[in-house]
Formats: sequence, C-alpha cells, structure tokens
Amino acid sequence: MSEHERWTHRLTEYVDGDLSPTDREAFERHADGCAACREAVEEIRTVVAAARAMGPVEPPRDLWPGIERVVSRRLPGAVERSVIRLPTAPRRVPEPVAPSGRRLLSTPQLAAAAVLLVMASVAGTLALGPGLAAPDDGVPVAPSAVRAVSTGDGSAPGANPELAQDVADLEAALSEARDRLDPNTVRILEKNLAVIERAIVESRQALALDPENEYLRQHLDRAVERKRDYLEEATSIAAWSS
Amino acid sequence: MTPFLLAVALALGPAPGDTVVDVRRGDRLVVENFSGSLVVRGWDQDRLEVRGEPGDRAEVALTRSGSELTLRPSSRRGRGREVDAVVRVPRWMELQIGGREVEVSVSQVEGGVSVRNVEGDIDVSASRGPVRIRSVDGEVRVTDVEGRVEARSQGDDVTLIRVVGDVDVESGSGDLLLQDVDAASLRAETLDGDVRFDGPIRRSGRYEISVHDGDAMVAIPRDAGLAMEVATFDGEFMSEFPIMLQRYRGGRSFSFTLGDGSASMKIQVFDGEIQLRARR
Repeated sequence: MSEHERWTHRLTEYVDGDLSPTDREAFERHADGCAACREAVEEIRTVVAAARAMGPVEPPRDLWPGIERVVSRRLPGAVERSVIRLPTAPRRVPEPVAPSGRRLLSTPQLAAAAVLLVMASVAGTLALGPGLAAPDDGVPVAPSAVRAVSTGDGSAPGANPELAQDVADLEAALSEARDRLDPNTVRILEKNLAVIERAIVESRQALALDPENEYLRQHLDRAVERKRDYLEEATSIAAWSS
Repeated sequence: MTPFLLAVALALGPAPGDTVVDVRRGDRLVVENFSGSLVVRGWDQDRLEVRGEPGDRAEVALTRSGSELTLRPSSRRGRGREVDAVVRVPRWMELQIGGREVEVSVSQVEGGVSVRNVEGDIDVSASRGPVRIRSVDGEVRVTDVEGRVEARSQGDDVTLIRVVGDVDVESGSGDLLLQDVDAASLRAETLDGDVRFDGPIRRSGRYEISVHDGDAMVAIPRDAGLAMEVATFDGEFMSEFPIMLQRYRGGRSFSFTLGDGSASMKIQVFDGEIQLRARR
C-alpha cells in the first residue's frame, strides 16, 4: 500500500479530528505534496458545512400509538405473517469506495443523502395521517428524531478516546511489523480491515444523522472495538507467523 | 525447565505408519507453524501416530516437553514448505493447532480443540468441545459437536450444524449459518454478510445477533418464550409470529414478547432485513 493509499482510508478521521497527533502530522506532511488528498479533504469539509447549514429538523410527533393500534389489530391470528415495514427512507449512507486511490466519500452522494433524509422525515410524518390504518400495507414509521449532520465541533460522534488510542497504537505496531509479514498475509489483513473501516464510516455517518440513537451509538462503538480486536489479532499474527 | 524427552524428526514420505509414540492421559498436542493440510482423527488408543502423504518429503519434528507434545516443521527442511499430514490422537487429547496457510480437519476428539490460522478452511466434526477457532481468511465449519463453540473468520463464512452448547461466532465479511444449534447462550455477529439461525430456544437463554450490512433470518419454535429486542438503522422487520409491540425505543428500535418471555433475544441489523420465522 502506497503512502497515498494509506491515507485515502482515513480522510474522514482526519476531518473529524480522530487521528492521533502523530498521524495527523504525518497526514499533513503527505497532503502538502498530494493535491488529490487536499481536494478530498476540502470536499468532505464542504459537505459537513452544508449539512450544518440545513439546521436542525424538529422531531415528528410521537408515532407509537398509531403503530400499536395497527399491530394489535393483527393479533387474533387473522394474518399469520405480519409485516412491520420500518421506514423506507432512501439509503442515507453513501457507499464508500474502498479500493485504493479513490475517495471514501463523494460530495454529491452525501449531500443528496442528507437532503433526502430530511424529505423522508417529512414524508413519513405526512404519511401517518388518516390513511394509515391499512393492516396489510405495513406501518411506516418516521424516525423519532432526525437531525442534520453536526460534526463541526471536531469530536466524532461515538468516539471513545481510550479505544481510539488503542486503535492508533495497534495500527502503529502493525505498521512496524508489516515488513516481516508474508505479502499474501498483508493482502488478506488489509482486505479485511477495509471491511471494518467501511462499517465504522457508515456507522459514524448514521450517528451523525441521528445523534440520539442509542443503537447507532452502540453499533459504532462495537465496530471500533472490532477494529481494535482485529488489529490485536493482526499484530499477534505478525508475531507468530514471521 | 523441562528437558526434551523426545525429539523425532520425521521425513514424511510414502512409508505408512511413519511415527507412533506412546502418550499418557493429560498430554496435549500442539501443532505449530504448519502450512499445507492437517487431518487429525481421534482413536481409542493411547498412542499418537503421524503419517505423511505419499510423495511429500518435507520434514516435521515432534518434541515433548512435560505433558506437551509439539509438532512443527523442522527448521532445516520443513519450514516454509507445505506439509500434508494425518495425525491420530487419543480421543481425550487436547489439541492446539496453529499455522499460516493450512487446511485443518479434526474429528472424533473429546479433549477440546483450538485452531488458529491465517488462510485455509477449518473443519471440526463429530467431537466434544470446547472448540475454539480463529481464522483470518478461511471458511470455518463445525458439525455434530457438543460443547462450547467459539469460531471466528474475519474474511469467510462460519457454519455450525447440529451443535449443542454455547456459541460465540463472528465474521467480518462472511455469512454465519447456524443450523440446528441448541444453545443457552448464543452470540453471532457479522459486518458484511447474513446470519441464519435455526434452533430451539432454551428457557432463560440469551441470544444476540448483530449484522452491519446483511440480513438476519431467525427460525424458532412456535411455542418459544422470548423477550425480543429489535433494532435497525435502515432495514425491515418481518415476522411470521403475531406480535404486540411493548416498547418503542426511538429510531427503529422496539421490543415485544413471545410466549412467556423467559429467554431473551436481541437482533440488530444496521442495513438489511430481519426475518423472524417459525421452525419447520
């Protein structure tokens, strides 16, 4: 993996202020000579600023009583296979592009996703009017609280400083051990690490959209724990297989 | 501290019955740094036998230190070369197997198995646990095992069939298939793949399924007693069971109870479908 490829996976961490001081300094040294990385960072910052400018979206009214009415009606066994169709907002998490040399985020994708999310929230609220109680149509549920992205304070949502430090330390240890590893092993480790990275990025973006969502917070924490565990495993492999 | 009591260099070749050594109850076998394929079978003898595949001229060394027998490629000719070996061990013997690129098949053992590799499929069958498997990029398959099973493959599928015992399985980018798994405690987690669980529900059992990008399909008995918690970020929930939601937790998280609710199940899918079905 080239120096440039190494950083393309970590641009959002840089923008979010999640890099360790050492990594931050190293990235900035790289970015000084890399126009592509500088441009990507600017695009990410533009998206965050645009999302912040949209302002907060008021949560819709409490929808639970409506859900309960509809679901309860199905209980006596009239419908054997009940379906609760949860909100079908357009996919809000832009697909990160993992392969080397490309950016993880695309400005149009993310900006469009943010706008669509707000529209979906409003649409969900409207859909829960008089026409709601059609048992076989499922129950659309608007999110109880949807807010615009708010990562502008520099602290990434869900970030656990101790965990982040563990991850940074392990990344450094693995980087040192890299040369001792079989090239095929390195390829496998990096491929799997990219899957975890993608999950972290998607979880972080989701939590930025819905910061009060406890499930998303736990999900992000768990994804970062997975990364730490995997890095531990990888450094351990470096020790016993080299 | 303990002197080497036995050091046997084995030139794994075409001759059958390459090496047989006596072992005593309590001995354990450690296989280190293997690359190639390793087949381990339990038998009703207190002896350990190592055989090579015909034509394989790599060398391995078997050494003893206290109650630990270690099998590893010999430093002179075997290291870095692929070895195909078949090992017979007493059923009671504990096994600890490690290698970089090695396919492992273990069956008919009862002393506990631990396998760790980087690449290569791992298969454990017809055995008693505990079974502990960690693979970076190999497919893991555990069938007809009684006892706790802990299995992780970062890059491939994990399949458990007819397992009785607590289960803890993980994958990074593979599916988790848990068929006829009877566990009082079960945790299944994958980042990029599906989870399929089909099994009975124990009273007071605890079941946790987590998927980042994929579907969770859970088949349980019609009379199961479960306190269910379901959460998703961008997905759907489908149930063959009539349900009465009990608590809306905000976002797309809610809970409900089936039967007496004596056991608990948590299903979390970030982006995918949750299906709750009745066992056929």
